[in-house]
Amino acid sequence: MTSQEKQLKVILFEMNGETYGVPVEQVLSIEKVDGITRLPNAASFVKGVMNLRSIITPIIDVRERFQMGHSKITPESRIIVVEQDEMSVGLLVDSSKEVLDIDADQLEQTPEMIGGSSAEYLSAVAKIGEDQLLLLLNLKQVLNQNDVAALRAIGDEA
Amino acid sequence: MDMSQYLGIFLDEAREHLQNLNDQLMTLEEHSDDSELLNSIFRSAHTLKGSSGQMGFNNMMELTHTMENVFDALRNKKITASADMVDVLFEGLDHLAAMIDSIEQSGSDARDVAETKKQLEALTGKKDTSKSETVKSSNDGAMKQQNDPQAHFLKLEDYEKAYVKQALDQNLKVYEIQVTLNKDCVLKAARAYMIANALEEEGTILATRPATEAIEKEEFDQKLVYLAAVACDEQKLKHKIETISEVAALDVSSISEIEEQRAPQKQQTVATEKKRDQTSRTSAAAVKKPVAVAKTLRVNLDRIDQLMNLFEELMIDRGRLERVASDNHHSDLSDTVEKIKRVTNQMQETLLNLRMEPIEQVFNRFPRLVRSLSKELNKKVNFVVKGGDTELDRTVIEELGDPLMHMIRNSMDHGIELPAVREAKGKNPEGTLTLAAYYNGNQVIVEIKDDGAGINREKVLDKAIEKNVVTEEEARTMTENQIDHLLFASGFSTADKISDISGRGVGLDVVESKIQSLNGTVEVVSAPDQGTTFTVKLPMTLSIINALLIQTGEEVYAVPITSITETALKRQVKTFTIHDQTVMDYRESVIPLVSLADYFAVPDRKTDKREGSENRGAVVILSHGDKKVALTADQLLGYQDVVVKPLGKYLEKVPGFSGTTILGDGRAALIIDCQRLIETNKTIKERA
Repeated sequence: MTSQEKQLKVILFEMNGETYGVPVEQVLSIEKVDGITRLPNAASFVKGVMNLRSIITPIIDVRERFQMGHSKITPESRIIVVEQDEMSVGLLVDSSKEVLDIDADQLEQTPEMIGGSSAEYLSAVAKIGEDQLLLLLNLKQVLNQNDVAALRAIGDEA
Repeated sequence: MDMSQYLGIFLDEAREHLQNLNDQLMTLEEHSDDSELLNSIFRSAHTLKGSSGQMGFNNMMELTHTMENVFDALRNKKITASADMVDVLFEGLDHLAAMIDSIEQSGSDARDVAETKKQLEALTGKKDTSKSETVKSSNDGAMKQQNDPQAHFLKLEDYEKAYVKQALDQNLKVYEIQVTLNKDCVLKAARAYMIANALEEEGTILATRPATEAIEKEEFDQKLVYLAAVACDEQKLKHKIETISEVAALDVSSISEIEEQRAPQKQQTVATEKKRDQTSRTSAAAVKKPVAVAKTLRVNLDRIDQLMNLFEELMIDRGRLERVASDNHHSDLSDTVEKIKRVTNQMQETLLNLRMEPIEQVFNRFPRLVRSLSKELNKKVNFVVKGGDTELDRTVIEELGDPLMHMIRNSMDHGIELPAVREAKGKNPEGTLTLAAYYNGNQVIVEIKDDGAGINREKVLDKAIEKNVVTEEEARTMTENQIDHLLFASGFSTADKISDISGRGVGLDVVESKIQSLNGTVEVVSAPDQGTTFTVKLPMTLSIINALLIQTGEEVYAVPITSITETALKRQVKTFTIHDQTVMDYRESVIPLVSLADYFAVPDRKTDKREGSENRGAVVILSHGDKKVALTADQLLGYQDVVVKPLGKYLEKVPGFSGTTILGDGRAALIIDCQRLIETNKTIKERA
């Protein structure tokens, strides 16, 4: 199989100085951060909800989801609205970048040690350019609802 | 042959027929000699048999066939209806309903119905006579023509002419479609069914030759003739039918006028017979009536929701436009905005109406329930249903069945007395149970009223104390209304013995929580020996509620008006502290005071250091059942009709909110789940 035959289109974004990517077919839109309504009682990484063209969309802070502190909202901040299992969820990221084609043979299994606790949220890594690494998100895991419930349950106990 | 694409239609129609059969069987018991009724029952059963057979659900077909034999015998006066017979027939209908459900869920109609079938067969006193005698249709003219393969529509019945005329008047095109099936076609009836479906996708079938009943029985050679009123052109129609396999020849010709016109008179008849029309609509497909049929359309609910979403967006922009107009004092602009406002208001009403359905759909299942309960309990009950045409949001209707059932059971079991007891009290031995629905402003009221013994408050209290629902101390100070309301408390049942009807541990307590989840309320009023009335108040729609917007710090929340008892300014109320819990005086009692800021941990709240600041702000008294909580906020922004949107799948487990809404400035606001707020507060208090 030639590399031409199996290509993956990903949207790149930046977080904590690292480059992440999500498959373009799962991305519904990219939005500026405006008018997030805080949602009390939700897990801490849930920033709140936002009205996006009459659809109430949950916004999650990916950095906080990965337990890497929380994001500061700057003019560069973006919300990448993704779709997974018929849910649309907005990912708050530091900035969004270009769309990139990656050959399937560029992808590698996620090494155990990358990113520490966040490794489980990655589906693969790929080398782009000389010394840049692209971390491909495993959206299913990132948007795992059991975690939302579990974290909240802990909060309730407290 | 793949029939899966017809499954949806089949299920819908099967349910419709089943409901007809249920309704008509109820009537049959009292009017066993009504031949029109018997014919109608027979036709419904017959169509059900035909369509289930075509879809390949043989169990269902066989059972319907056995039932059909009974109806046929009834119709031909070979046997007469009795209560026992009706029981067995109902049993059969229950099996059919279960089969339909199971077809929908698993695609299979497997079910053990041998016992019922045996009983049904015993009714007619003969084993399956597979080909029951030829159906004598009431409409002989059509029958005579049916076996003439050359039949043309030159000889139309008067009523058929009226339909053609009407269709032409509505600017629909009327075509005569002659279809010849392959000689070796095996499932002729199935093909005919597919052709009919194809035609109905485009319009309405006005008539067929031979008649539908004959088609279903495959009593025709290869030739079928349809007369249909459609909106599409000849080409499309032809194409649609040609794609059905085993069609050997097709001839479509347009009919543009009808020589004789006795239409107006006929039209009226059709209109007045609209109700019966529904009953026989699908069974007597040969005489599909455009008046009733052409005006309805099945639309996927998702599409309506989508339309709603778009409309809401429009509403938000309308709000912006209104602001721009009021800032700019441009008269043309203001006029136009005003006009847009009027039109969008009407649009909103129309859109909401799309989701409305008559409450009849739930009410319909209760006559049977009451019938079987009264037999079981040996009680005589006259069941009166009123206001079935009252319309409610479809979502509400779907959820309403269970709570109503529990209340009806309760009235049957605990309310209405045994005939002998009633007589001893000087009452009519036959009790009356009324189920009524009516509009009241923006609400729909559903009442379940019996003329029975009324609530035995002493017994209720004893039981409540015994079951630790209330303490003896509390019991002494309770008002009659509060005692009555104990019926809805969880884990409460006053039945002397656990009966099969109510008192199974689940019951009225489910009712209250269910009704509240629909943003409604339920109350009970009772007078000894005069009866008990359950009153359910429901919002007409769940998609739009009236809410009070309240603000604390920068955050705005919506409180459904159904939970609000009253509002006050904070400086008007007297607050004090008991065991770390702030409370306030409210009508001679003391209720807990909850700050919105604390409850939702609102951040960055500028603390007002000025004197008397703790007296600023507003208080909203919320109630749930007889429990009340006062909620404080910085300010009340006013009442508004808001569109309710769910929090969505990802956040569905986050507690505290019954939904969200979009404010005029496009931001999302959360709708407070008042029931939870009140109950959480109770637990906090108990802990303290």
